[in-house]
Amino acid sequence: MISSLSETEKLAEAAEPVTTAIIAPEDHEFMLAVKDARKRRFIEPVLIGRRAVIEKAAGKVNYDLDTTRIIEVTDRQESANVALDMLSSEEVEMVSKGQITTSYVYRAIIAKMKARQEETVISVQTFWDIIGCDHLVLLTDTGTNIAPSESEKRAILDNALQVMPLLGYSCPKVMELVSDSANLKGEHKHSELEKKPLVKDSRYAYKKLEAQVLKNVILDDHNGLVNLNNLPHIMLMPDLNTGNMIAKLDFFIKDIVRVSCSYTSMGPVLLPSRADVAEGIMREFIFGVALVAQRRRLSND
Amino acid sequence: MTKLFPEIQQRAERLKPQRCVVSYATDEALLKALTIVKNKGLITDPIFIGPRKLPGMHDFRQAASMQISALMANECHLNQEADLIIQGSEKRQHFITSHLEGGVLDKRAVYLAAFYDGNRKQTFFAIDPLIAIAPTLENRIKQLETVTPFLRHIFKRKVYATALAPIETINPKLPATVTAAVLAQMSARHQFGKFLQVTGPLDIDCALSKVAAQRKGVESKKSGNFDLYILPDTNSSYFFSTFLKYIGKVPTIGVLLSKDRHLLLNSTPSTVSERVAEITLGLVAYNFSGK
Repeated sequence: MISSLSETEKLAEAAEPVTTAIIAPEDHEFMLAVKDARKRRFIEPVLIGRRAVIEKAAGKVNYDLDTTRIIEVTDRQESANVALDMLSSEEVEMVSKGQITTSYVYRAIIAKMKARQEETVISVQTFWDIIGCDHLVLLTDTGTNIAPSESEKRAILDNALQVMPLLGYSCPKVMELVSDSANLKGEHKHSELEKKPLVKDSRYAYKKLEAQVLKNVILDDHNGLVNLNNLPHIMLMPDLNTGNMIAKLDFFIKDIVRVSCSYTSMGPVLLPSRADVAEGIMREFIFGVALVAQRRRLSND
Repeated sequence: MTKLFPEIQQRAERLKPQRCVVSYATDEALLKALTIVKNKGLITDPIFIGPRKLPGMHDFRQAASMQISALMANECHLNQEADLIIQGSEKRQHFITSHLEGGVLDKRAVYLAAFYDGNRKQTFFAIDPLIAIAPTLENRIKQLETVTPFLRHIFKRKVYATALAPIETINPKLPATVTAAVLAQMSARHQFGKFLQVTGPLDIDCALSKVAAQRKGVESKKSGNFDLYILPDTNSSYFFSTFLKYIGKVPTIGVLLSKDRHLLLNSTPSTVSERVAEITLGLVAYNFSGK
């Protein structure tokens, strides 16, 4: 079981470079991460987007593009579509978003999944490496589904359960987060909120935690103190407002290191935030490469 | 020992001692905290209502059940024996509904959570992790009308708030972005007075980090330094508080503010110091509303 992001880095270092389609790498921080990831032989990038803007960004970080493949596509949606075509046809093993609105990438993924007659609920998986916790924690969905229904939550869980075995979690502990807020009745309440967990099963193996309130899971029974090792492996977020806010708490809680991706049957699609700097983008590349390395290993087995 | 929540402690410095009643008192940590608050001169000997008398409970009144305890505590308040009702081990929902005026939650009611940022050595606040499940714009406006004067009293300056949403652009499919934009515009037009400035919608990374805000082109002078976080709904706010408290180890307390009466809920603070800070916050709120 991979318990930290430093372990994923070791996997990535041992792997052959992963051919990666990069959509609109048009910003110097992003280009710096691409340059370093290539130099360290994590990725072999294929840059897709507006050539002049890509070259300008590369110039800012002294990245010589002579031996890097560039596919000129000026339309934003088309550039995302080209990247997903390449992933689907196995021309590349991984896709990463650059300076492009995420919705273009989501639309390209959905279109490709429909064409492949696959489940079309896409979701974002955010992994936390927390100091004091002996395992990685996956939060999902942190990026796409505004108010997921029961069937959408099940698909979100299925997506998470496809990626966790790659990290050695064959039967992860899953908790669907439910708030412990005052559930006032009748005239006392301000509005309705369904406070019951929705997901009942999955196509994949997992262990459902009976406790529904995080506090009851994280506090040790015998001394009442916080034990981060009690955290579930997967936490299903109730909605996008919550998933988005919680996933990025690493900006405040310095004990957390975060990486995110949208894992598909074709391979990982990395979705660095436009707010991320080169260090964070590099971390996502390394994590994606580790996932691809594990996919390769499993398919060879 | 680090002085938690310094702004709240400062506001409590010149308060006259208040009288408190603790409903369903079974918790020794609460008793310890009340003794500290009493020794600071902020309260007189509290009235304890509960199933059994514990050492240190000088004024103890027996109640066999939570319901009876709630009724007795309410009577103490009505008979002017006690100013502030403090939740002991009663269930939260039961406590709130038992003690609100006429049993009804008024539209201005808001649970104000307070966090101590050890890096900045400052307090910041968030609404509303407990009460307003999916607040309408009208709820939000009323909550800000309740919270703003109190926070102005705490900080003794203009209050800087951010209305959070999953993205920083306005998208009708994401109601939080629309509400945030409206609140920001209302504050720009001084509809909350001159002492509240709301920035939004902001994604949480831009609210917490100046660098992130610069990268996304939504730079705000207060990024990383807001006094109040207005979260989209109770789910996001509840988990924001819970994750900060249990995973971030951020000292977390709170108080329920409403039009006529403030209730001191037991937010199960992690330490006695935090419990002392929570009682102090309740006393400051009670005293402020009486002005």
